[in-house]
Amino acid sequence: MPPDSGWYLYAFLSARAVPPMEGIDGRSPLKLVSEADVVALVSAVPLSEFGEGALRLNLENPTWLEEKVRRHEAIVESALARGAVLPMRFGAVFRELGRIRRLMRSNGRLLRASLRFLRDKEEWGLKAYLDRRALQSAVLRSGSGFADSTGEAPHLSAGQAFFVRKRSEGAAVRCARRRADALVRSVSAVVQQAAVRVERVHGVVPTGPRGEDIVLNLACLLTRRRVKGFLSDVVAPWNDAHAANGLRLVASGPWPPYHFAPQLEDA
Amino acid sequence: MTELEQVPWNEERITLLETVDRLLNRGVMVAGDVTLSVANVDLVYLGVRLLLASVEAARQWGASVAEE
Repeated sequence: MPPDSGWYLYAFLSARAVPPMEGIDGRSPLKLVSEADVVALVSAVPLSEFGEGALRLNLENPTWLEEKVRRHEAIVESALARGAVLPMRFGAVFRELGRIRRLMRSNGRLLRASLRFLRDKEEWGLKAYLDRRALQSAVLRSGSGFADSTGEAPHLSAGQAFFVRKRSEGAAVRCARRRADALVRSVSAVVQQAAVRVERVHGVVPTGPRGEDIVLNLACLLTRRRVKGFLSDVVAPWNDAHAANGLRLVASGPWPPYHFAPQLEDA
Repeated sequence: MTELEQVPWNEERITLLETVDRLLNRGVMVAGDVTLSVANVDLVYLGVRLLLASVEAARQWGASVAEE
């Protein structure tokens, strides 16, 4: 390996299988490093692109970052299809393989236990999108004091009717908020029941695809045999039941278990 | 920003952004010194930068994206 190269670390693996693709630089072959009964998936990267200074600059370039994020993710997902993985955070570059080996030795027990724990589990994302306007309309439609008051009170002047309507709209907004909170709580409870672990996702995306509010964003660790049931018995019926409320659940996955990977001690 | 947020984006974009949420902010981290060359870079901040670039790109795709 040339002296101006470093090693990019993608993940720790349980299976000794090399994904059929090039490394994150688009050229260098992927390689397995075995140590302490764990396997690390790595590839050489030029320090001119991934060295500390260069990487810092490249990270500021959205086009570069998007391409690399896609490559990195494709490699880790390919590995995930062959066995358990512990995915690294983006941009883990080491100057020497020896450094990675040392990390594996000093964290061997934790790495092995984590891989064993994750062997039969999958990370799934679950978001709840709320179309606030649709929910408010649903609340208004459902009547109970929020119906269009002008229709019910023909004796009111136009001005009075306006204020009555405004007041009932305000009540509808508050009622919609309460209903949304209750729905979100009920989803969370169901998810807690179904999942082995649940983590909150701190997403950078502020809204849903159609401008909806994201009222719930979770990473769920599910036992693999419960995934199908989770999607068909929890998510789908919930969406059928609450479509009229402007609330919908969207599941994504399986993801590499980014939210359930351990922190390592430095070697 | 408010104006940009109004622009719908497609599923492919959402998947990328979800990947960014995970890949840049979570995953195995090494506590301690500077083994990782990006240890000092705020990747959360970079995720936001990438997001803004993605939203801007979606906006430039224009009506075809908005109509989906």
